Amino acid sequence: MSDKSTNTNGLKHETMRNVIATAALAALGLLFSASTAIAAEESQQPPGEPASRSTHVHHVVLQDTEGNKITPSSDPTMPFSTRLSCGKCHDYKTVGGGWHFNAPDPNVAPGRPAQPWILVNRRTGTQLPVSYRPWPGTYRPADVGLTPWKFVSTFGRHMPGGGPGEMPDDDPQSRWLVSGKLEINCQTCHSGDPAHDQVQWLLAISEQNFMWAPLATTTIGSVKGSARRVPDTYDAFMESNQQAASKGAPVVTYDAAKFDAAGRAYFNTVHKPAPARCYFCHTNHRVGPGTPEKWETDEDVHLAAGLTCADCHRNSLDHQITRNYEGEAEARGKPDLAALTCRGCHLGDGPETSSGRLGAPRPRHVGLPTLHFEKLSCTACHSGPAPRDRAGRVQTSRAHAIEFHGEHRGDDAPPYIAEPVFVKQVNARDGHEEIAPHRMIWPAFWGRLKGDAITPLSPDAVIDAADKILETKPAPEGEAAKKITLISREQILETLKALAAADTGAEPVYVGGGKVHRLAGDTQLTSADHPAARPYSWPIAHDVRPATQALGYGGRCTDCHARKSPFFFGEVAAEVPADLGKPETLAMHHFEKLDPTALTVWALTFEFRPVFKAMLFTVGGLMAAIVILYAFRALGAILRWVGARSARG
Amino acid sequence: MTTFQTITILAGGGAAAVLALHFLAAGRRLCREAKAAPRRPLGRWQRLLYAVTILSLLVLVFTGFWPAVRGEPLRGWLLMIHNSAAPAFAIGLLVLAFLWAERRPAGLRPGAAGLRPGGAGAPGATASATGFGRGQRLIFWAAALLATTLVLTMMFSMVQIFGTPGQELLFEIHRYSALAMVLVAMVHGYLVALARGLG
Repeated sequence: MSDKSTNTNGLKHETMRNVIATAALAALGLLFSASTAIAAEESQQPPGEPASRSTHVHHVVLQDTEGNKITPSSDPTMPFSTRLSCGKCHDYKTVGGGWHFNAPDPNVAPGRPAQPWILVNRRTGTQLPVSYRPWPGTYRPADVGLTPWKFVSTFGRHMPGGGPGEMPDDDPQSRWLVSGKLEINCQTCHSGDPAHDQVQWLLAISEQNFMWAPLATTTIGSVKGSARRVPDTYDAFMESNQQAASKGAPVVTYDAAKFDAAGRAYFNTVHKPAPARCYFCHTNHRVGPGTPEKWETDEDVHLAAGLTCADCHRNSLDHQITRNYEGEAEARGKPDLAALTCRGCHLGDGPETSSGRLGAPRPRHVGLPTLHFEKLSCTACHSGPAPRDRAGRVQTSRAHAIEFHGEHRGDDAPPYIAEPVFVKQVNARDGHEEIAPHRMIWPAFWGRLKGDAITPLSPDAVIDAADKILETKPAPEGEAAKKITLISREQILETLKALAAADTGAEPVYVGGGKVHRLAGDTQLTSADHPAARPYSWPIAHDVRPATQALGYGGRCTDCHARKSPFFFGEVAAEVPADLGKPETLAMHHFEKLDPTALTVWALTFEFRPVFKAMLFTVGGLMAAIVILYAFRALGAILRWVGARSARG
Repeated sequence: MTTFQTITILAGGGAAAVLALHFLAAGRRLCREAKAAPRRPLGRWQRLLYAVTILSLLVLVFTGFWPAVRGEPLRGWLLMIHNSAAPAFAIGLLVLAFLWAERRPAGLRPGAAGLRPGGAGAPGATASATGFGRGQRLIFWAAALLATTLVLTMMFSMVQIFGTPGQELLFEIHRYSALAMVLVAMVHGYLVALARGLG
């Protein structure tokens, strides 16, 4: 019994041990599975991209470009490197592949044409759209001698760093060793500090203080001095603060109060940039007669409603910021992106009564024939300034540096960009053509014509050949002094002669005003059409106007369908920074590829439309009355017939 | 190819085939009977009005269906011509309705012309005292109903009542009504041809 009991107990104990062991194994297994699952889940998160929507407080150990830890008392006190300081948590290479930085990468699809950089040189009458992205109508920087060094020196003021600022460059005139690379300045967009001063970035670029530029914009330190003043052999790492100061080289002073006990600097950083940060590079400012002042105009209706740019223009760590044009979703292979277009957000995919994302109102488009949705982009009626008899001039942050004071941003200052110009474009979603509002620039540059091709010349090359000819005339006194002095027809003639003197086997030409100008003898210029003289335009998406200000709202068909309506007949002048006589003007329908006669006839019909409507409503009503009357009579006949049959039994 | 394109081609082709078969089966006989039957020709002004209405209908059919069959929207000059022909057709049909409605009452009274023996499509056999057969009466009222639909769908799309879904519905009703009108017109043309003994 006892044996049995013992055995039984032993069996029980053994069973219990087995159960415990099994349970332990199962628990371990579960734990392992859970930890594996968590690890797998964690591995799906991109590095440096916290899943939380809370604000991560950025206490950062700063490092210079050589990896040395920075303290306020370091000597030499070097600027911090974003590549090493921010890159510890946020993969710098991934960020650097983002839309703001990847233009020079030939493997990146250019996407829909957008605003290019515009090379402006008043002395040579040059305004040339350039871009690393191969948008048709733009020139590559190298075409006009813009090495990465020159590109950054020229346009770096409105770049966020990275891209050309960190490219290999064999330009013998470059001074990268002195200036340092122009690294991505994360704070350009992500600073939440009201004292963040992006203007300091421009000053740093102009002083060749590339390496110091990110620091200069912050409040954790300040930069004094200029890399421009020191020789090509200057090495900032080899000079003490005192030595650097004595040479006028950049010297850094950190605010020790911004560092904690662990030597970490505090950055007021936000995940989602505020619109003001975007505006620094993406502001558009209309100029010219009759233009309302800034306080008289409203900003984009979405911003006024409380949205921010980044609510729609989103990105992950890869910084592939969505541009939200139709077709982008298909091009990027991300169908969900379609929800961020105008249609996606406002129409949604839900039932008829549902709004789109973020409570976007669903438009009713009452009385609007659906044909308009095929022929027009949403922006045609809703975006940009309302069309005027003559397309106005607009200045942009990147083209005119309007964030800074100076004569470069007077109303007459080139480059001359016209808006809105209604242009027929291809909708990348399905390839259909539609009319959309654009900004437009007419190229003006010197070049050499060989066969049918024109190769642009850099402004420097032109000045080398015609320095004296292109000397700026002294500005007259008084009010006229505020006017921009444009190169004259005579200067163009003489410059062409000077360029022709250098026998290159190609004929010198000046492209401007929609024509190519060539020498015809010693005293004449001839002008002709050429593809290189055609304007470059890019679509306007903002500012979006309130619905009530959309073209055609409330049955205002004659906003567009009227004789001489600006939408079809507004004029676009081929303005360039050269005095070529009265600029050629083209009507909007030229860019819309529409027949002006048909437009006029169609517009005429709208003058009779009220009569037409009254007449046809009367006709329709009478027809309906006749049909209904006789339907009742037929019904009466049926009833009589049925009654007669039933009476007969 | 869109559904409407397919339906248009099938319906148009089908109607033409049915009429052709009907003609082969009974056309010659009906033509002979039609030639033998008494006629009540229309007066000069009615003929003119009828011709204008038919002509405007042909213009509407061409301008409306040519792009539709090609899968293109109606726009540009074709749209303008279409819109210009529409009032002529609508007014013409309205006046014809005024003139002919009493000549072709619904006619279900016992002994009325409409109930006399003879099938639809047999103009000679059904020619009544009113001058119209049953087939033509049906066609007349179908055309009146469809024309009313065609006019009102476009007119309502021009006023500030219907949003995009409503506009799309009105357009769908308009074009399918137009297709039905084309079929009715084909039958009408066939019957007229038979009645005139053109076989």
